Amino acid sequence: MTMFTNPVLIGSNYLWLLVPLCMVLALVYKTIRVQYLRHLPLAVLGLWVYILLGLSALGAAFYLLLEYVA
Amino acid sequence: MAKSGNVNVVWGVVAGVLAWVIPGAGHAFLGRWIRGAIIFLCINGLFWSGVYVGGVFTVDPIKEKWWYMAQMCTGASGVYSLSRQAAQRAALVAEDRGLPPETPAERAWGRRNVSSSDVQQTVDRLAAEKGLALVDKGDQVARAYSGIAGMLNILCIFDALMLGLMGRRGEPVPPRSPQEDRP
Repeated sequence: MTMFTNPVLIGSNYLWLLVPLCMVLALVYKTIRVQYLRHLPLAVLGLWVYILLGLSALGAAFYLLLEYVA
Repeated sequence: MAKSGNVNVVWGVVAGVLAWVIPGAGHAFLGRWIRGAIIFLCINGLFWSGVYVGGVFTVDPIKEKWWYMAQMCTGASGVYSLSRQAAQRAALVAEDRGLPPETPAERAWGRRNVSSSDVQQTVDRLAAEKGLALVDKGDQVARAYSGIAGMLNILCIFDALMLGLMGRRGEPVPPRSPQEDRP
C-alpha cells in the first residue's frame, strides 16, 4: 500500500475527524480576520468551541426531528 | 508597521495570484509572514490529509465535479494531485488495453481518450481491483478535507487581493493603550 495513492480505512468513528477540521477552519478564518496576531490564539479557541457547539446542537436537533417528528 | 496607500492594482493582482498558487504566499508577499506561514501549513495540511485518506482518486474531475472545482482552489497542490490522478487513470486504461504506458507528450496532447464514460467504467473496475478506489466514509472525509481546504483558500485569496489593492503592507502595530487593545 502506497501513501497518498491507496486510500486508508478510517473505521466507524470517522465523525471525530470533524474536530480537527473545525480547528483548521477556525485557525485559517481568524488568521485573516484578526487585527493583531496576539489576539489570535484566544480568538481561534473561541471560534472552534463555537463551531463545535453549533454543530452538536444542529446534530441533536436533526436527531430529535427524525426520531419524533418524521 | 502596516502601511496603507492608494489603490494599487498590481500589488492586488500579484498578491491574489500568489495566494492561489501557493496558499499563504499572497500574505507573505504583503509582509504578513506569520499569517502566510499559518495559512500555508493549514491549507496544505488539510488538503494532503484528505488525499492521504482518499488516495490518488480523491481529485476526480469527472465523477465529483463540484469537489474538484473546490480542490483546484488550493493552487499547486490541487494541480499536482490532478496530474497524479490523470496519470494513474491513463496507466489503468493502458494496462486494460494492453498498451504501453502513456508518455507525457501523449498525455499533454490528449492522444488517448481516457475521459469518456465507457472508459470510466473500466477505470472504476480496475481501481477497485487494485485497491485505488475510495472506500465508504473515507471518500466523504477525503473530499470534505480537500474541498474545504480549497474553499478556505478562496477566503485567503480574497483577503490578500483586498490588502494588496488597498496597498496595505506589513502587520498593524498594536496600540499601547489597553482600552484600544481588544480582540
